[in-house]
Amino acid sequence: MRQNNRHAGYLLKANLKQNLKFSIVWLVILIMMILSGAVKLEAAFINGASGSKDIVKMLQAPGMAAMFGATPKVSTYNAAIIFAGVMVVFMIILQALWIMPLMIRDTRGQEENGLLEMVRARDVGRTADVTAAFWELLLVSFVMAAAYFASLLAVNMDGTDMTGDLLFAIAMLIANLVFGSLALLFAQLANNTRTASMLSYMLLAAAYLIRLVTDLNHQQLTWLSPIGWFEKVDFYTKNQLTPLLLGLVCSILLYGAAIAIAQNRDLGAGVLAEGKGRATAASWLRSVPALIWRTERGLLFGWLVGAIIFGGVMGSVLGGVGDILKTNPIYRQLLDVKQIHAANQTLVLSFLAMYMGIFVALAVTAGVQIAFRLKHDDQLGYLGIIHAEKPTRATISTSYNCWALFVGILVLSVGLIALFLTGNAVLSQPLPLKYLGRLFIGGLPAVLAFIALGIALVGLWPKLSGLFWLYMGAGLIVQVFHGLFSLPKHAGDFTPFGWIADVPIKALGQPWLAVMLISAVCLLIIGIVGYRHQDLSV
Amino acid sequence: MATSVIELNHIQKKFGKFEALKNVSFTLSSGQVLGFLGPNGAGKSTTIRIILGMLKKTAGTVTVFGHDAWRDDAVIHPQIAYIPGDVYLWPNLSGGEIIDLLLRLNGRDHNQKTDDLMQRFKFDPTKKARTYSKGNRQKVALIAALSQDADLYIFDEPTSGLDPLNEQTFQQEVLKLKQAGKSVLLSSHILSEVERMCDSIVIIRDGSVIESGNLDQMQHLARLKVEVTTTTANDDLARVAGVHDLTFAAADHTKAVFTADRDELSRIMQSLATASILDLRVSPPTLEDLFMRYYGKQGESYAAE
Ligand SMILES: Nc1ncnc2c1ncn2[C@@H]1O[C@H](COP(=O)(O)OP(=O)(O)OP(=O)(O)O)[C@@H](O)[C@H]1O
Ligand SMILES: [Mg+2]
Repeated sequence: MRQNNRHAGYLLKANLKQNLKFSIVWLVILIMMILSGAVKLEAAFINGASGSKDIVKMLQAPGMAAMFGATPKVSTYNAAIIFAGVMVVFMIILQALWIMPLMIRDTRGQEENGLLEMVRARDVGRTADVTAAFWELLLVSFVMAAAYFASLLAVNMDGTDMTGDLLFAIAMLIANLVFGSLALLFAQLANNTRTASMLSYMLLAAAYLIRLVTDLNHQQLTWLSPIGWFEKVDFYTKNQLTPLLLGLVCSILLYGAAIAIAQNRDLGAGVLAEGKGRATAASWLRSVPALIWRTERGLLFGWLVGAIIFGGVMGSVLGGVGDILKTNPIYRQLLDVKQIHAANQTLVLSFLAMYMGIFVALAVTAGVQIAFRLKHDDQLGYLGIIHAEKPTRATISTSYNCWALFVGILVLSVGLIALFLTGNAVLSQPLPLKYLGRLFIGGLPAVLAFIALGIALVGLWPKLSGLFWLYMGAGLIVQVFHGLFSLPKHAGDFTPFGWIADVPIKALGQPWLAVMLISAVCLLIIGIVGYRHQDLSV
Repeated sequence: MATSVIELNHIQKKFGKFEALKNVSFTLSSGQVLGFLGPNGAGKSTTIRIILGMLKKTAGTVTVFGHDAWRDDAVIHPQIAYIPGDVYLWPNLSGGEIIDLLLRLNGRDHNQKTDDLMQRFKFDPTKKARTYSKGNRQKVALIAALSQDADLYIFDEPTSGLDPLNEQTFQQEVLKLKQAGKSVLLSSHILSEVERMCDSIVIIRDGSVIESGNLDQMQHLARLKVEVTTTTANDDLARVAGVHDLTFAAADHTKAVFTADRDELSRIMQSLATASILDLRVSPPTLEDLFMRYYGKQGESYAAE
């Protein structure tokens, strides 16, 4: 074992340096989230009973429970309990979005591009890369947890104590270990980074959906999801240790499995097999758009399947969401049947409004990923040989960009349709078709505007394209936390998420529709023109 | 008898169903510089990766310094310096940093030789690796490998990105290694490079070794290349035993180029003499001549003879 990890320490140092900027940006974001969450909730609770009651009531609504996790049932709530109830699921997901690509990059990424071959020819153990990555995981997660702990101590919310804060920090560290070692395992199973990332993100999404469904209906089943384990700790109340132990054991097993595979396999190989290629190109493979279809179709299928599942799952919980009598039986005496139906529908619509942003964000991610491939493929030199041929730069960038927009539209449409169909199948009082129309009229322009923004960034300043994720992420977060943290009404209006916040309760206003469509067209043009003037492969 | 540094015995390697190596056996003796040749896809890099313990052989035995290549890589690697054909680096680290790191990974340190090599290769170690050109990335691997005092040097197309000047510097460095009695395995497509530096060669094709041995000897055993000009037409030549690949350079068949078996030389000369020789040039085959035969499809039949 030790033999196989020879000189992992040196690799760790090199990787830390290589990933320094990436990890620091993420750490800052995460710590800011923790700090602002704690400060906001503490403020709400200090303001007195009314503010805190509102928040608790809001959190008990099905939409919120689905989004953030079930709020523990206790007689008196304090800021600390609510903080944990709101932040656990959310922080784990954010952290996973940082840790998983980091782990894959450190192992399969370096192997795929050939760096590991040169390194391994030195006196470096066969599993040293996996071990070094795991150490990096431990180290950065420890820094993160320490910062969380310090932040929580500093804010000192109502209801916190040292144990609770410490436990929260440790739990977040263990969550990193679980998802990090999972990514390490996928990086050993797949023989390329793309498959490894896709598997990792799919598992993350599945974990979220499982806990979402079970939090709404069968809370004892939330144990099925690794994210759910951490909800079961019940921070600041029961402070259960079992779930944390489970997480720890699980990550050790996953890491062990990754090591076992790495020990015994060929460099460059995976466990999942790869089929043989074809001898000649298909007859349709004769243009740049066709080339993009050929290279990205796996990704597209993955997204479509994901969108159908996500839409289907969200639709299937609508029945439970739109049942006002279940939430509050007193209504039976107060309201007649018609009023109950109307109230149920309002519940469903506000639930949909909450999740509309997520649907849009997923579709945008799918599309922008393809728009960003333009830069990526340039950097790796794939496009060099194509630039030298007949297609002009405009053709190439237009092809990528149109695909990006198309994929965004497709993913959103498929997701919404799946949502609507399954939703109406389970709702006793189906939603009229006009609400689907509203969802489309609100969602599509937002998706187009967002993707076009990504396109413009890649065209104008390819090096800054990472900022797109910051912008979109910030917009989504502000929108999601908007009600909870009682942010100003228009706080979310710096992105389209704010503009479509009331869809489908209300139809999207004409002005915003115009703004999004016009800016989409302008940004698309800017992107294509910008790409024409770029120094390529930078 | 020199001890053997690398010993491959009937190595076979399958990637799934595809058999990349069918039967590869050769020995690299201590102090030997061995050229490893073969067409694209023949299995050179695969063989080298097996020697480095990065791929698991399907059958056969590989020992390096007498140890099993896969199991004992911990013992073997500190004594090896390797340069891959395509060099990829951590984009955010500088060249100098990476060279030091690679040296330390083998328990060595930045030394006088490292600085000398940087100067000889005109290498700027302060730039971030993401900005290096292909040749400069290659220099990182080259400097890290050559400034390590190893027993065995393995080079897989080490000069594929270097300009002629740097290539020459590299060749001089390898000759120094040879003088110092180091063992070198060099895979390369640049035949002049192999001819200048290697004592022996191994030629591999479709996953099997089809020829190996001392370069002088192979040149000696191979057919001679003959160019001859005679006064009268030389049509009889085609029927003389030991004449191969005959072509006539002039329409009246007074100028002929062919290859000749050495043991049939006297008979060939007699036949030529009847046409009265004006000019005669006989040369031993260059590596390139040897190679063309082995690389092409006729390599199989030639090897079979
Ligand atoms: N991981 C792999 N999976 C399947 N086939 C492989 C793999 N690696 C190599 N091969 C195949 O094995 C054969 C030998 O490849 P190798 O890289 O050893 O050739 P090479 O002699 O180094 O060629 P070149 O001169 O082009 O570098 C090729 O046919 C190649 O396609
Ligand atoms: Mg090769």
